[in-house]
Amino acid sequence: MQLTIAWWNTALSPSKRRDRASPEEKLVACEVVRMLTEELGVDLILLAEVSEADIDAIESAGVTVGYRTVRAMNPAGRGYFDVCVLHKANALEVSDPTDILLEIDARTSRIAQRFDVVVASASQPLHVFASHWPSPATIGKFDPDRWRLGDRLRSPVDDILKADANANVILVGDYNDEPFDYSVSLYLRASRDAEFVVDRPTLLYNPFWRHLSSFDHGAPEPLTDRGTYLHQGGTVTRWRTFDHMMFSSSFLRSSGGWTLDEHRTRVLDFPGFTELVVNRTHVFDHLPILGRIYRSSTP
Amino acid sequence: MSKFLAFANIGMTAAAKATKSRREVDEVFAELNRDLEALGDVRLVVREFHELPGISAAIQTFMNPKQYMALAVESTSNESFRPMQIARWKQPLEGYPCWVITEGEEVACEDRRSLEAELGRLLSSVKVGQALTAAIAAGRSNGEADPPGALPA
Repeated sequence: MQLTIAWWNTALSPSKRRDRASPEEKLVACEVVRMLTEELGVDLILLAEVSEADIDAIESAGVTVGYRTVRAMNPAGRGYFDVCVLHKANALEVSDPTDILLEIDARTSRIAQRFDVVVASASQPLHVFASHWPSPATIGKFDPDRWRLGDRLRSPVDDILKADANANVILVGDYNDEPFDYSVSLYLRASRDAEFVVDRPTLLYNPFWRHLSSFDHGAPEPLTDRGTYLHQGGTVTRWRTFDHMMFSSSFLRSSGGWTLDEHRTRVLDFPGFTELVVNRTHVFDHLPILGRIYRSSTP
Repeated sequence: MSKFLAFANIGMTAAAKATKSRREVDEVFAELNRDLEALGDVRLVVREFHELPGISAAIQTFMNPKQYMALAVESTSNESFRPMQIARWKQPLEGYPCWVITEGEEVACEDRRSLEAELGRLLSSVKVGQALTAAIAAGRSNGEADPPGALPA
């Protein structure tokens, strides 16, 4: 048995411009969701920058048949979380979110939302933390508060891993930081080194280190991806890998009943939609990402 | 000769900062409880609770009972009133962040202002309102039975 997870920052409703998407752009978003549900059969889909109206449009387009929706657009401080979960109704149970917040000088930042996912026939739940961190324009690249987002997200993750070293923890989101940025690599302790993570089970493994390069290996199916976010005004690079998934060591050791399928953990670059992102003729600026795990054994 | 002196100084500076931070948190609770005195014999405290295991887990936890810290409302005059837990609480040795963990929300308060705001929000909730009402009533009818819903200490 395998399980596929998708994350996509839709760009339909950013926090400061809710419901900005045109009807045409909503149709495009529905088509992307249809691709995820009907063509790729993704089990768990997390959509970001969505509003209630966006989800209404996606549901009424008939592209989520057989899926249940967990609307997690909860208010938080002056803003709100902007994530919605779609999951296969017959395969998964997904909890309501636990909102994880950072308060500095009585100002609220959204660290993550935790969803506990129970897979039919699996005894161990998956603990999924979905994040959409502020852009560098809101909390600067080298602002200690940015690093604190990573450090504080470790706290609930550490609680889970202390209670059960083989727990299955997945972090997914648009961090507005790349795998090598301090907030993710040092403070969240998400490593590029799979073997090291096996030896140091408190570390997380970030397979999106592989997706930082535009080099074409010439393989029938590319092994690496150039990024997830197109930064049109970038002076050194346009592509940035802001969206990633990170996995607890249990997925590398197969000790929690699941194993990471790294080949299928990557950026979803498909004709038609990618051109829209590259050309920036519409609101879209992020590509979806996919992660796949498969059942290794009953723990 | 002074190989370790710099490290010791760093540790002592950190310890002084931690003491200051923890004292600040204590001050927040002291101020809050001074305000609550106006309502009756009630206060908000941080105290240790034991997890209530299910039957299957009871034997396992018998040897190693799980404990955790929580914010609780208690009566200052009625000892038979069992403290009512209103949120879980995590605080590192450094003092901050203070984590206030309720159903559906975990908040890391990084400073005094944030902690005050979060505790204010918590006090405004229905659950805490009910706990305060119960504790105040218990204080007034000192010696009577626990209110329904009171959790064991």
